[in-house]
Amino acid sequence: MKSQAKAVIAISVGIILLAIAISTNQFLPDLIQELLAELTRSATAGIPTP
Amino acid sequence: MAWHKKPKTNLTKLRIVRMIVQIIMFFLLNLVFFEIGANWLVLPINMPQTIFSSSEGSFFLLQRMLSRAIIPLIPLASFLIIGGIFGRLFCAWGCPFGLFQDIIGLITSWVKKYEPTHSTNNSMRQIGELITGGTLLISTFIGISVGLGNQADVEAAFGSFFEQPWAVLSPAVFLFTAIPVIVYWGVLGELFRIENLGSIDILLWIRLAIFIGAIIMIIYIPRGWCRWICPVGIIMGRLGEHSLIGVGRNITKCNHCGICEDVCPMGVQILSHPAERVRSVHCTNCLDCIPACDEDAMELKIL
Repeated sequence: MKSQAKAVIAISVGIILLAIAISTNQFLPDLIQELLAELTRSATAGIPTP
Repeated sequence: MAWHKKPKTNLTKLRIVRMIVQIIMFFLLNLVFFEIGANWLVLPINMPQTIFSSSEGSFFLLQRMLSRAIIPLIPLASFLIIGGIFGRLFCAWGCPFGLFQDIIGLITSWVKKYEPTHSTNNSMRQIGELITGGTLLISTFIGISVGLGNQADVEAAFGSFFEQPWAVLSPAVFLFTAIPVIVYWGVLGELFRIENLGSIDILLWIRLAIFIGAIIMIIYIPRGWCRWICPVGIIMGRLGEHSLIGVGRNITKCNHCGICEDVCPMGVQILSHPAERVRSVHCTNCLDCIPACDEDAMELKIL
């Protein structure tokens, strides 16, 4: 398969995923904000809390 | 493993423009203190969430969503759409850890740089592939377990690796999250008191060692982290091979002098690729090869 065809397939799948994300309210800034409300324990691993 | 010394590259106008764009991108992602940070920016870059940021790179968000049993539609869409169109463009033009590597490269420009051979460059990439595959596998396993209602058990089993397994070891997280957090929480003095050194968590020592190791690698091998380790680069490289936008050679102008390969920060063997397009997992579309070519043979190509 030609590279251009593979790129078009990847972009199309991405757009479909984005459409599903929008229709299922996953793309709301609120959800991302809620997800990113605090730093993960992974990111602060090993650092003593004050 | 084989190496040869890499010729010194000049700071061209394009490299300066690229650095300015990288700095703008860095601030765009870290302006939450002024409430103008863009939390909708989910980009395929090596950028973790920081105390100043309102979003994070696709790979970190992917892990976070998987471990919470949410299908990561947004990060996947970000990878596929941006990778399909631009390839690894954001590695060169938008990634804050890429900017860090470029700055380290500039500061240490007096140090002789080494260029691995093509086969070494490709085989070392397997380290990154292993890290990427392993992280996704662990995150998926955690997500399935959480989805089945075993969150407490899995959380206890994985500890700090529960939410974002790769974030624990990533030097980008250490640089952009751990160091600012240590300063912001005011625990720096406490950490480095001689009597406290023995009680520092082993994970922090491991993270510090990886960070220092990454810096040493970057000093000697330009963009070493991007080439071989970065999971975002691994994923985007696969997409970048087939992206719609990339560089190519004008075969009528090219005299095969090889200067394009000498200036390439990723060690791409441009002349070994078909003239119409350089389709390499390493090419970040930094465009450094375009102004370097005296014959104007290097071009930005679409499709």
